[in-house]
This record gives sequence, structure tokens and C-alpha cells, in this order.
Amino acid sequence: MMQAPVFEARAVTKSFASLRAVDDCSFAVEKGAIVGLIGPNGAGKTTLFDIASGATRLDSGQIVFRGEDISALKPHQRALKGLGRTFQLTRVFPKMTLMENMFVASPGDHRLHERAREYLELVNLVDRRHEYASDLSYGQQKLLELARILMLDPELILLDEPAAGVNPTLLKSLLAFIHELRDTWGKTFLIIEHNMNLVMGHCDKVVVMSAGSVIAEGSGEEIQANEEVLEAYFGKSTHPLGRAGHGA
Amino acid sequence: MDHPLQLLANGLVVGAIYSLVAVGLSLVFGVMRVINIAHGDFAMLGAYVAFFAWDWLGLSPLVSLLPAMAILFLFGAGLQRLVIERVVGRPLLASLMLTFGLSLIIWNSSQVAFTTKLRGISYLTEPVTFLGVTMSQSYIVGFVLALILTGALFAFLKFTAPGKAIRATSQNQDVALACGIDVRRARTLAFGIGAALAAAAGTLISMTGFIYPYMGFEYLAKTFTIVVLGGLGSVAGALVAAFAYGLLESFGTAMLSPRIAPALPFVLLIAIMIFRPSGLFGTSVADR
Repeated sequence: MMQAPVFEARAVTKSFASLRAVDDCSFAVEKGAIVGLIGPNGAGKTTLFDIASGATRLDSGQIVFRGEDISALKPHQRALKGLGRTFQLTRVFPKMTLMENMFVASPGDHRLHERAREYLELVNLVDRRHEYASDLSYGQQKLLELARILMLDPELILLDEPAAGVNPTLLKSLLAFIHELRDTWGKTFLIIEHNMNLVMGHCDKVVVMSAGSVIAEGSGEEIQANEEVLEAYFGKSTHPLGRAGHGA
Repeated sequence: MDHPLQLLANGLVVGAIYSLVAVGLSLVFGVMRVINIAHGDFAMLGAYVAFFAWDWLGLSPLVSLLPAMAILFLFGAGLQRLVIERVVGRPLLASLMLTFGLSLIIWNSSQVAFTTKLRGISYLTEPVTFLGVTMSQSYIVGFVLALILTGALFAFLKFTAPGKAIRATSQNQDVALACGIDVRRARTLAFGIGAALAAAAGTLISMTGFIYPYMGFEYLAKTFTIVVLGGLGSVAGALVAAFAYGLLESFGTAMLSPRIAPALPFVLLIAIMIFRPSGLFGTSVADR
């Protein structure tokens, strides 16, 4: 199932004043995979997302997307190339209807209305398409945000804490949606998440960051057995620590 | 005191012209968080384009309206790209100082180029009387054109892709970027449109009032009050507040004295600042 990487961070480094937020960070995301990016608070995960999406410029290193170095591209150019992202705190355009929200993210094609409806249907929001986005619940706004990204027809979708602030029922449909997008549409996901059950249960690969660097990479089981990871999360300890669920 | 209907009509006419200047000022603030002190000067430049088109070429202001808008659009867009863009995202003081400086340059250059002589265009001065309201044709034409242009702006923002890009940038720049929108282009476009609408107002003013190099500041002071009343960055709020301002000015002048009337909007402004800081119809900055 795994194929050539669709996304690669190559020796990415970024400092803010004296703080090295991201330090020589390298990893790859294979096409069609759901990859989890985890790490303690302050590990540099969101900074890495910002660098990947172009919101933040890197100091050195490369961001490679579909084999092309996109480090110099502006955020909107990366979005149009098929690199979609959501934000940690969900962001919709509150004073626009759902349909208008969808239209904003469109490189302009004639099937605009059709596609917007189709994606809103996928997230069960099509009946509310003429309402303002500010009228949606927080969880629904997350779904809208995800549906909106699809308008760009992205190959890779970066999700920043999709489970945060979402009730269990909605989380279930969110996860089902992610799997559907991967399984039938071939989308690739890179997900920052603190919910360890989600990461261990749904990600094909987990990348662990700590203090700006990648300290481990592998399947969920491998990561849970990794001493260095446990240390990064819990500090040095002689106690045999628990497994999934104890994380955040 | 004049007939109330007359005062109402006067208020609506000036309100419509104010709205043309105010919606642009508000649009620009919404999209790039820049208060453009030079915005009124765009109206002044537009007025002079109309005047010289009339004086030298014999063109009516209704003909020179579109060229004036086009010229000021290019001027505004160029100014934004070259200068204003540098202060986007910087503290408000930076853009205030910059646009204040630009205003001084434009205003003083205009004084050198155009002299301080009061000018105006006598066009469509024939009065029309309807329901006891008497008004010169130029006022009526100005009113209708102002409404059409403001309506066109709303339609543009609501229905076109560049308009949606401007609204998206105004509501959340980061998300607009993530949606593939070139926010820099959206800012340049918004600034150009604001300048063009101000130029249109200037053209209409050339038929209905006096033009002089420092008229820009007068319009800026009024429209800035309007924009704050309407809620900074809210284009619809600016429109409503412009009419409110026009009516207040019209009735205030008639019912109180012409010396006190100009203070009324500021009394209202102070009240708004105290009781409803986000503006009359305003939304908070985050919720635009």
C-alpha cells in the first residue's frame, strides 16, 4: 500500500530569536498514508505545519511536495498545488454562508456548485449550505473546514489537532470521513494529535518530535515501545509506563 | 426652517456621496488593517480629473467619471503595491504615519499643481421640484450614481471570485491563504477599488460643490467618523452610517445652527465610543 513519499521535510530548521523551534527535522509522508505527528507541547509540531504550509519561512532545509522543492512558494501557491491544511483552532469565514466558504477555496472551475454541494453532503452539512458559518457548532465548523479543503483537490491534507474540542459522536464521523477520503479518494494525511487512542488506532505511521527534532518514527506499536519517546513524554523514570491512552 | 422632506432629500444626497468615500475606507481597513489618511485625497484627485476634463476637453463629469475612477484605481493600486503593502501587519501607528505623510505629499503637490483656487463645474444646475422638494439635477444624478456604484461594490463583493477573495482576506487572512487566495493581490485590488470609489465621489462633488486641494481632509474627517460609527471594516455598516451622517448634518444644520451642526456627528461618535465601541452596526474586529 505504501508508495513513494508525497511529502518530505528535509533537515528543516527554524529559530525564533534564540529558540530553535524546529531543529534539523527530517521525515517523509508516503502517498495514501495517514501519518500522525506527535510530541510533547512545544516540540515544534505546529511550527513544522506552518513551515510546510508556507505560513512560516524556514531558516534552512527543504520542504518537498510531490518531488518538488516548494520551500520558496507562498502559502496560497502551496494550497493551489494541492497541499491543504486546517488550523488548531478551527477557522471558517463566519460572515459567509457555507457555500460561500466553499467557493473561496476554488482554483476556479465550472463544476464549482456541484463539487461544493457534493463535499458538503459528505460531511452532512448540505442542508445548511445557505446558513452562515457562524451558526454552526464548533465541531460542524471543523467538518466545514475539512470539506472546504477538498475544493482545492489536495493530495496531502495537514490536520492540526482534529479531535480537540470535538464530541465523541462527531469525532467518530470525522475519523470515518478521513478514512473514506484516504481509502476511496486516495488522499494523504499528516495529523498533529494529542489523543493517543486516535493516533495509535488510526495512523499507519507515527512521527514523534521532541524539542524540535524527530526522535522516533514507526508504527504505533514501535512507538509505544520506544524508550526515548516515553522519556520525552514522561521524563526519565524507572516505572514501566502505560501504553496508549496515557499520553495527553 | 426648510420643509422636512427637503432636509430629508438633502441628507440622503450628501449621505450617498459620503457613502462612496466611506465604503472604500472601511473596505481598506477590513482587508489590511490600515487606516488610510490619504483616502480623502483620492476624492480630491478624482474631482480634479473631472474638473480638468471639463475645463480643457469639455467633457461632462458623467463622461469623465469612469476615466477618473480608472486613473485613481491605478494610482491607488500602485501606491498600495509600492508603499502601503510594507506596513501591512505592522502596528497601526506605522500605517497612520505613512498615510498621513502620503496625504501631505498629495495635498501639497496638488496645491502647487492646481493652485488653491476654489473650483467647480456648473453642470445640470437646472432645479427640479417634486413633492415640495427642490433640487438641482446634478444632485439627483449624483445621488443615483452614488447608489449605483455602491450597489455595484456590494454585488462585486458578494458574487464575484475576486470579491469573495477580498471578503475572505478581510475575515481571516491565514485561512484565505490556506484556501489558495493571493491575499496580497486581494489587498491591492481592495485599495484600488477604494481609491476608484473615492474618485467617483470626487467627480460627483465637482458637480455639486466646491473643489480645492485640501478638501480631502474634510471628507476624510467625515468619512472616518462614519466608518467608526458603522463599525471599522464593515462595508455595510459604513453605508448605513453614511446616510445617518448625511441626515444628521442636514437636519442639524436646519434645526440648530450651522456652527453647531458639524459637531453633532462627533457627539454621536463619542456616545458610540462609550456605549458601543464596536460601532452602531458593527461586529467586533475578530467577527467580521
